[in-house]
Amino acid sequence: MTRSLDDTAAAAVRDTVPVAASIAPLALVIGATAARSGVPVPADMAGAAVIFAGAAHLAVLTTIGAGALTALSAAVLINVRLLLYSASIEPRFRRQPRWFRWLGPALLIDQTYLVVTARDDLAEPARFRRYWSCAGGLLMACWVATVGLGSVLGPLLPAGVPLDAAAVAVLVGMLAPRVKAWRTAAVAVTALLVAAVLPGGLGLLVGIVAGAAVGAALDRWAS
Amino acid sequence: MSTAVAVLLAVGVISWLFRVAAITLLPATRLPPVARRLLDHAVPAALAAMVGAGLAGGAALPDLAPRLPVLAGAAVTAVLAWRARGIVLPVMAGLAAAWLLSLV
Repeated sequence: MTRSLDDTAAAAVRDTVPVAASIAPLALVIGATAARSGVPVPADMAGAAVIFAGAAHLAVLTTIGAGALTALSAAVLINVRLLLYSASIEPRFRRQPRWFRWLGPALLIDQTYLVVTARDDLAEPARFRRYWSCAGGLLMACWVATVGLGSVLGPLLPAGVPLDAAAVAVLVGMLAPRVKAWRTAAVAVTALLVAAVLPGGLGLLVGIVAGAAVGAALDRWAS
Repeated sequence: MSTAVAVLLAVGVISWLFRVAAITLLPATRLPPVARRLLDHAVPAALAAMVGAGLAGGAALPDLAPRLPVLAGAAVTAVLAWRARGIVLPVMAGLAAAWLLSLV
């Protein structure tokens, strides 16, 4: 069993390293954006650990100027998908000890969800626990360290470097792969235009609500 | 900036509640289909709204000229990310486009 669990840990590390590399640019942008916004490095790293979700973290940093409630609402709406991931992955946690059912989900993000649901050899609870802890723990360690690195390097960047362009590019990079169906495109275009036209925090909130409402209306129309 | 730190920590706590909700607290699988569809749409809507707000730069009906580097970077990233897997290369290409245009 010990050898088998060691193999599971090694597999988790092998699966996670390329994923950690793929999210490093977002972590660097978040760190640099936080530094420019005056958020202390330890506080931003603590935020990276507890939120452990790039888009929501970036949402707070880029919308805090529009007010705390706006920033909180945007980030919470972005992270509401975690509820669905939680529901989807619940069978894997059903036979786990109580402590793990409370603490283990702290490592649940898009990447750990996708990595673990791609494997069919984690039915045994101890094996799943080892894989989840190694993959999620390593990913969180890399994430927090890279956010910290971005916070340190951010102030060293020349003033002309367009960090707002970096933040928008990262968000577009996360949005574009989701826009494969016309219905999602309608949701995205609505939300984008409303948020761009209306001022500040109001545009952000109304844009999100308008986009989701258009999606729900199209769902009803199609069914 | 204590407000930003407080919001970061609050989002962290709420995110953890989302994470444990269906595993430990309540069965989210019993959510009605309409609610699940709304949750599905919330993510692209939120991302797109943030893109829109970022493109506008915080101003209503923005003068597009100063925002051209951001717009160009977003456009390059969008085209590449839509066709490619992963976001590293599209984002780097978009950043390069934005940076080059900001030099002009």
